Amino acid sequence: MGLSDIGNLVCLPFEEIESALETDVHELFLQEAVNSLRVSQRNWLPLIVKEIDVDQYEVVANAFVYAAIARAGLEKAWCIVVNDSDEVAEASYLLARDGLPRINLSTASRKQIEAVLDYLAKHHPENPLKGIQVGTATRKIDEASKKHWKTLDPITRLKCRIGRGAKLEALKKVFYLTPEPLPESLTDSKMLEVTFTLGELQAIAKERGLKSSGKKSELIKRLLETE
Amino acid sequence: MSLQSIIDGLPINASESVVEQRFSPAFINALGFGPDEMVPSFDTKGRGQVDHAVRKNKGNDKFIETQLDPYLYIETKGKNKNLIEGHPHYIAALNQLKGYFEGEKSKSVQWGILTNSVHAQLFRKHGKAVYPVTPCLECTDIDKVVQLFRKHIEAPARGLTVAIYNNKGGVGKTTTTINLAAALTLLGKRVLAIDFDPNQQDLRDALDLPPSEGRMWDMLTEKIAARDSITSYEYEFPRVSRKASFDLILAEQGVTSEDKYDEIKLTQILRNDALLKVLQPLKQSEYDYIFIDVPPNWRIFSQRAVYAADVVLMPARHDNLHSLQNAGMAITELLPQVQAIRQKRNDYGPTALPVFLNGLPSKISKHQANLMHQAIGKVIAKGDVEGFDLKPYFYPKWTAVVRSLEMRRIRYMAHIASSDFLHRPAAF
Repeated sequence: MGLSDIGNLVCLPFEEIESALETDVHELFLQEAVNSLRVSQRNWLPLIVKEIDVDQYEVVANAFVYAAIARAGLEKAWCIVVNDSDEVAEASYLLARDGLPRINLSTASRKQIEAVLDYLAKHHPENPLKGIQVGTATRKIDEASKKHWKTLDPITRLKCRIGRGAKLEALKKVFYLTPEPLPESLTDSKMLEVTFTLGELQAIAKERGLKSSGKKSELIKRLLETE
Repeated sequence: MSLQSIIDGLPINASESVVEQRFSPAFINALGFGPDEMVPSFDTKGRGQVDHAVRKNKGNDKFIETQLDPYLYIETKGKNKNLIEGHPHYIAALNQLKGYFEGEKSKSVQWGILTNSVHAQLFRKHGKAVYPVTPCLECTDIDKVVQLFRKHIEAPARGLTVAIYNNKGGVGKTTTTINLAAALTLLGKRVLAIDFDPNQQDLRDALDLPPSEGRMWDMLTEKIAARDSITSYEYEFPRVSRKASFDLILAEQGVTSEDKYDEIKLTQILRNDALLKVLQPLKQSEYDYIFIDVPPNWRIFSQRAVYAADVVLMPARHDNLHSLQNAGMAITELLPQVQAIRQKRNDYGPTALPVFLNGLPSKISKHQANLMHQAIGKVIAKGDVEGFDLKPYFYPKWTAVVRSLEMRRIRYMAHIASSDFLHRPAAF
């Protein structure tokens, strides 16, 4: 269908395109890219855009190219128009290395967890996880029963040198969660101990009609005893 | 009381008289017409009474008194009538409105509205051509509907853009284009003809024009204004000292070898509305008719040309099956593609005028006529299966009572064919 632009390379007026993506690439790269654009007057590397309304497009990937075109003051931008779906947007964003990937920790594999920790500990420009033992931390996180985690806070209770503060914040930028609800009968005391704080366990006990007083270990025992 | 609250306050199955009494006057008022600028039950003289006719007063000429020169007709239906496009109620109401347009007093009318307070649609009447300019809109945000209608009503375009198209070549598109242009010029209209087939340049050839002129590419890429790409075709009548001329936009010469018209590159640069945008100022105030001679295919130039049109005129031949089938296919497959995109902008998109038989001999055998009607019958049946009623396009005079198989047609005349060879419009 020749009338649809999807999948096509098209030349669009730059004013019709907006970008919600940011780029934190260093000024060195941006300046040089802008200088070269001012000479070529054409971005041979296309923007990836989706149509959000009539004559209105949004950048889905190659945010750096967008920033360069904007600063170079070009009136037209060469774009590939893609269809408006989350999968396409995510795939393009990742291929363009526009930013950190977002990984679902609830379902992540060991390999994925290791890659994240390795990057943040050794290759990220700020090394936010500097000092952790990547192998140990990977094992502990992977082996923890994390499918019920609603936040990343339980990581701080795994004794892998990741505490609240900058390290946890760095992980929050990469990991997200899709927790499963707790089952009716609870059998895993270690999971309960790591996953929940005392306050959270008290709330769960109340919900199940149990006494909510006592230390953490007592509460856990009580929760396991009931059917 | 706001118009929206009036709508919300109407009973669920409000009858036509209730809608007419409570909704219509307020709606007409919102459209910018005062109480003495509207006449209810307006007699169109010859085709019955339309629910409302309106026109702005001019000095002492108050429309409610003189009832002369109506500008806009409004046909109201009850909420119990379904005015969603395609529904039998909608089709009946639209035919009713078109009927009113043919009344003796309707010559000055330029717009028509169909509404039942749940839906509303605006139609343009340009001469005898009637076509929708908005989709059938829901009145859930009536202020937006009013705003859109007013935008059209307050600035009617002077011209009608007609794409002359059939996927089948050799049916006489170019001949039709230049002769329509010439004939309308003789009737005092200002006409622009556009040769939108840079690869063939039939229009240029037909009029034997020199190769140098033609700035279509620069016009489409907005390097020059459309006005600067126009040339004039002038014809001097041999025995009378009289000239007639109409305007042309032609493509550049020597184009087939050039990179410029490489289709893949064109798709990258020419948006769907490239031609539409460029023609807009010309259509608004410069020309009564703009004819676009469209290439016989469905590639980029054809698509852009049809996209730019208000209506599509399709010539066919009585003895060429494909030309008839293609006309049907254009209505069921190609026009809807274009309409879908134009409707994203609250526009409607091009609609087809009835198909006409071009160069019909004065006598064709019964056998041949039967073959043709059978073939058309098949095209119509196929259209039915796909949800389209193609009958009005082939048999515009067909009604349930009088099943007329009369088609629009232009008779074969040797004069027209030989004029082709002489490089001039036969109409001149």
